This record gives sequence, C-alpha cells and structure tokens, in this order.
Amino acid sequence: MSEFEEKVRAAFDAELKTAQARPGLRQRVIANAVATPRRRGISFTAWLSPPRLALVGAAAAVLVVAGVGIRLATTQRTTVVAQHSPTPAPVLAFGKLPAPQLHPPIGLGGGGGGPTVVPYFGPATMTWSGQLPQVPISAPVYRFSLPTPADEDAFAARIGAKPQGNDQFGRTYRGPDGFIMFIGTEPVANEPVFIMNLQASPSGGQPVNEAGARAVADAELAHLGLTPSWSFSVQVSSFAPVGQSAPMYTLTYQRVIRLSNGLIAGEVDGNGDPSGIQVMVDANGNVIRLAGPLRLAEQSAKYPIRSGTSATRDAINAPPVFPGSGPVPAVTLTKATLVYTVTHSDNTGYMEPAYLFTGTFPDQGVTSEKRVLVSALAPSGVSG
Amino acid sequence: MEVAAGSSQLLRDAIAGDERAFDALIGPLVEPGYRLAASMLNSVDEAEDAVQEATIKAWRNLHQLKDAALVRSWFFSIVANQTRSMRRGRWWSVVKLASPEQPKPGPEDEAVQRTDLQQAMRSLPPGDRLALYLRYYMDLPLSEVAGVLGTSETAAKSRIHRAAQGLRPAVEVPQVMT
Repeated sequence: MSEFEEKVRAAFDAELKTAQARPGLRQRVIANAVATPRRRGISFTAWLSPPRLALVGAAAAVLVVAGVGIRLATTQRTTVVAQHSPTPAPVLAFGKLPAPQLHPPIGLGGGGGGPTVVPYFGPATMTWSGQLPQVPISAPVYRFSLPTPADEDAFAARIGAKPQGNDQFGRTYRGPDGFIMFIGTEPVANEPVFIMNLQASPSGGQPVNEAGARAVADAELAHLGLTPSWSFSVQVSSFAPVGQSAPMYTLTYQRVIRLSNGLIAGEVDGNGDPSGIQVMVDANGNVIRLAGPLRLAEQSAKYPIRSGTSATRDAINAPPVFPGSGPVPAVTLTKATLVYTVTHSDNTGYMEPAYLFTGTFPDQGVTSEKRVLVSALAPSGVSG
Repeated sequence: MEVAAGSSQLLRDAIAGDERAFDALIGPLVEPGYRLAASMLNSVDEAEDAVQEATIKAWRNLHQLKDAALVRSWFFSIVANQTRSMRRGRWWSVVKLASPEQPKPGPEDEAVQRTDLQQAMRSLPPGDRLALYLRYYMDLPLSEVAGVLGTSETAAKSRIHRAAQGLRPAVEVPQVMT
C-alpha cells in the first residue's frame, strides 16, 4: 500500500471513529426490510391473487393509453417537420456535430435544478404534456480546441502558476498565492477543466452574506483574470456544513446564450444542471475552490434548429442513461427548455443547443425529476 | 470480502422470500453500507436512514440481481444512490468543510497533516469522495468501484485520480494511481 493510500485510509478512519453504528443495526435494518411488502418480484404469479389481478388489468389499461399518447405525438411531429423542412440543404460550417447526451453524475455545474427534486436518469414510461419553447430557426454552435499541454501551461502562466507535474490524466500547477491547480479532462464528458484549491487565510476574514460572497467571488475572478468573457448568470446557493453554524456559499457563473428571438439558453452539465465557472466561498469570505471549463480558440457558426415538437418524440422514446434498479415509473414530461451542452469529437469540442425535457414524479416520499436531453439541431446537422 | 460458496442458492432463496437467506446475503453488507453512508452524509442518523432505505430497496428489487457474486457492488450502489438522493434533497448541506478559524501548526506534525487531509477530503465533491472511499477505504477492485459509480472502469479510474488531485497539497499524490 502506498503512502498516499495509507494516509487517505487513516483520514477516513479518523473521521469514522465518531460514526459507529448503534447496536443491533443489522437485525433492525433487515427486519424492517423483510417486513416491507414486495411490489414486484420473480414470484409474480404467486402474487396474482384475484383482487390483484384486477389491479394488473387496470395498470395494463393505463399503459395502453400512454402508448396511444406516444403515437399521437409521433404523428403530430411528422406533420410539423414536413411543414417546416427547408428546401435547400443548410450549410454546416463545422460539419455534422456529435449528438448531445446526459452523462451523470459528473459535472462541474454542481447542481442548480432546485433543492427539492432528485434527478432521475433511469427508465421511465414517458408522455409529454407541456409548453414548448419558441425557438428561432437557427442558433449559434460553438467549436473550440481541446487544450494541448502547451496551451495548459500558457493558461497557467497567465495566472502566474508554474508546472508541478503531469501524468496521463492532466497537469498540476502551483500559483503565487500557494494555490494548487489541476488542468485535465473531465473523464465522462471529455470536457477540459481547471480546478483550483486555494488556501483559506488562517486568520480568517470578514463574515459575508450571499451578496458579500458574490463580491468576493467576483473580485477573485478579476484578480486571476478569469472573469468570464461570455455572458453569464450567477446563481448562489448556501449551506451550513455539519457541525458549523456559519454558511458556505457556492456560486455558479452559468454561461448563457441569447438567441435571435430573445430566448436565453443556459449551459448545463452532464446532470442537466447549470454549468460554468464555480466558486466556493466560506463564511469568512475566503475563496477555497474555483473550477471551470477551459475552452480555447472558440469559434461560432449558425446551425438550423428543429422545433420542440419535433424533439418531443425523441424525448419520450429516449433510452435511459442508467438501467435502473426498481419499478419503472410513469412520468409526464411537463417542461422543455432550450439549453447548451458540451460534446466532443476527436480533438475538437462543441457547445451546442439541446432540449432538456423534465417531469417530476413521487418516489417513496421524495420528488424525483426525470431528465431527458435531445438534440435541438435539425437532423441534418447531427451525426449518428 | 469474498462471496460465500452457495451464494447463488442464497440469492434464489432470498428472491423466493426466505428472510434468513436475505439476511445471510445482505446482512454482512449492512455495517459497511452504513459506514459508506456515514462518510457521505456526515450524520449517523441519516446514515442509518440511508442504509435502511437501501436495504428495503434491495429486498424489493432482489430479483434484478442476476449474479450473487455482484451483490456487494449492487448493494453499495443502492446505498450510494440513496445518499446521493438525500444529499440532493439537502442541497449540498452535508458538505463538511474546514473551519477557517482553526490555527495551523507546522506541517511536520503528522496529526496536523491528517487534519489537513481530512479537511481536504471534506471539501471534495461528494462523487469524488465516494470514489476515494470505495477504492482506498473499502479496498474495492476497480471493477466494483465502477459498478457502484455506474461508470466504466476507465472513467472510475479517472475519477479516483481527479479526486486525489483535489487533496493537494494536504497529501502528496503519486503519479500512478493503483
């Protein structure tokens, strides 16, 4: 075992010393579990006593209705597409783009969908009932280069950081204020990112509220020359760490794109949560973490957009991201939002528009939110 | 933790409703599952709730477990999902970070270094922390870490590595992670 592994293990050990389970946990937990009726099981036929057979019949009827709903939506979609299909083939400056997709649970966005819903990416029987956004006939697509080691060094040098080492996953740097920065590729989305851990001032600072945290974050970004050059919307969330009364703040500088019809589309991460530059500020106004995407040599081009109606069929037929481990819920998707998300192909990254469909459903006392992401580009602009 | 011989039979029996078989299969995982939840939630009460919910889900959905050899990663993934749900519900409120008022003694003190490391670990995003916990505290092989995280082995390895980077400078991170 390496020294690193020993230290990590010892740290977990020390932390869990105060987290001993109460006596009888196993017996209590197992007894409560087996006392819970199974909703579905391998012994399904044994479960089908006469009163339950009636229930199964009712459930089958509901599924049939849902199926009709899906077919109706499909028919409607085909008609709409036929009416809006442009005669000349559009010019695609960057060629066909990769199809966007959700890839939870990783993302720099850190959440923003709201405090009361749990994102759900498993299987669901979906129908649609909601208001589609009014979208323009075209929208910008952004293309950027994935950074080379030289690019990363140049970026680090710009904020005064010097290389400390590198490996197959990325490079690390140390800055003049003692901060450590990691530049690498977010493993699932393949998005190049930088992550800075900063040292909190031992003497502490002045207590801040949300507005103060925003001011501190703004100042730190400006100090490092990392204030976004793109349009953004700032979201602040606060929480009280366990055992502490003082709050901690997470600020997300979400990138937003204003489209030609005035619609504003925000960037989302692999969870479908707001994404951009993130700054974490403690209660005393110390910036302790800063992270964001590293996109270089960005170019833009207009691509044709398909209507939300057209995307609806894809959304309700979309395969789940995760296979799921429980009963398949029936979900009505009630909201569709035009968003931007990052894709990549070889050494090129793209930020492209997509429709994020959502719908909530109750799941054992918790409100879960089914999320589906489908491309907003006309089919001619998407590969695969 | 090796899966006991005859576990396939245990699984079949447990699926059929044999409570003792379910206890034999899942019972040994309750305590590790609780510790996993405690590490992720920083609350013993909520950890107990999480492992209770996870065990109920395991009981209800045991028929979906096709191979008894996968019971450990299957159960831990349910626990991890449960803690993730609870964390989401509390909007990151469980992320425990260092109190900035604490004095900083010299770096030569091993206990201090450990405290720094613990603080760094608490400031990790929950998913990164989970990856480190599974790999280095529970000693799970990479394949099982990937199973719990719901990713490929490559992605799991990348995630562990990225999480380790987040612990700098509290600990020196090796160039090659195991």
